[in-house]
Amino acid sequence: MADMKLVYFNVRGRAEIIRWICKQADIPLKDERFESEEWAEKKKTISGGKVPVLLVKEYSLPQSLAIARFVAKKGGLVPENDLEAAFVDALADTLYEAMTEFYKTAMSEKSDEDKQKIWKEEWLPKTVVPIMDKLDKRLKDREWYVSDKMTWGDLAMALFFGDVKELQTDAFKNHAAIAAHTAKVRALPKIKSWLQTRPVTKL
Amino acid sequence: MEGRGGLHPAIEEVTRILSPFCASLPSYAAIMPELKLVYFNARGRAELARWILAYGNIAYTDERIEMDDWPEKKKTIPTGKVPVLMVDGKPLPQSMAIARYLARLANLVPEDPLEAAYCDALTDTLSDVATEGYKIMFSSKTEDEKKQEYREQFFPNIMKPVLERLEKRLSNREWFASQLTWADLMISMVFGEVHKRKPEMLQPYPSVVALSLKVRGLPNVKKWVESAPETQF
Repeated sequence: MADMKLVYFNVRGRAEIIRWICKQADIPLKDERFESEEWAEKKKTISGGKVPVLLVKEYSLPQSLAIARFVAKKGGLVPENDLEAAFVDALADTLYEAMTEFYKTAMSEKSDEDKQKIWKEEWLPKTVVPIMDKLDKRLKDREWYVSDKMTWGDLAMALFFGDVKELQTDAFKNHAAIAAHTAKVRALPKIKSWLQTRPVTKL
Repeated sequence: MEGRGGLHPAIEEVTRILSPFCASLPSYAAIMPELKLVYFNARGRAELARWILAYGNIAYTDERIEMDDWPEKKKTIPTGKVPVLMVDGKPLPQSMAIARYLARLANLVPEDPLEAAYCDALTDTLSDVATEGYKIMFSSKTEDEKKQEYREQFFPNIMKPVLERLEKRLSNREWFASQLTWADLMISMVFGEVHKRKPEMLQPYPSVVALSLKVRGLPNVKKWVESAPETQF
């Protein structure tokens, strides 16, 4: 089968989880990126007009989390147990809601200074910390988010919280379990290698 | 619907006693967890779960919170958000994660992973459409301003592109995927509602209307839709 192809902007954004899953699970993936100036033209060639989209054989699959779940399933990163799989889905949805809020500010017309202020003084304490509180409690006496092995939920966490740490370096000062989990996942050989070789982009 | 449902208590008891000895003996008690769906007294983001539960004839408690009681009730909910599905006492949040999980219990998720992914993508897309609709519904604009925004912005820019692609897909197939799935239920739930209020808007999309009505005609779904509480949203 020809390699699957991911099509997205040249950003991490909503597609990065897909890249992480494919790297971790050794799923060959063509990582096609385009710049925002090219979008108007590119959009015409994409069925549904939205990205990310995954091109699989002759099919075109949209929606970042539908794609993520699909490749995670392929890569053995979805829990076998239906309820555990659902908890991972819910985690991903929650993290994506927080990300959407972050991006709304990122894409706004505000100054960089104002954006930083909103992220640090509103987004972090009101949106992110409540999530961190719950997850930190959960990770205190378990190695992974659900079941006894790593799932795409752990990748989604490490991706999200790693970016949070970029924004505020002491973000985990009260959440040691999250700090440890994030570091552990980011140190996995295939993830570590991706972090070192991936294109460096602002978002 | 309340309680465990399905089997007579005596039969449940016998099943429970015998099932360790007869692995193949179906045991409703062993298969289905205790389910409680908690949401406002509204359709909103919980209705898809209710449709799926109804279709699958799965017993659950349909707990509805009145707006006045919400501030107090909110404190008792782990994530502070609804809907939440209590599964044997464990709280599962996020409407789409809930719906997908229940769809599995009701055999409404395709076996093939790519087909399942297509159902995920379609339901996510319809959820995004609903989100845009709610933004207008709950904005501080006047009713007339809202109607105008639905008509001039929401319908042409958000809903129409989805309808066009769906119409194309459904024009030569019986269901969205290769058999009935939760995607069909969501299509029917969303567009059946539009058809009720503004049928003229769906005139260019007869296949979408046909599917919506067909799903609403399925016995368990029909029973639910006809008996469900009437709510504003």
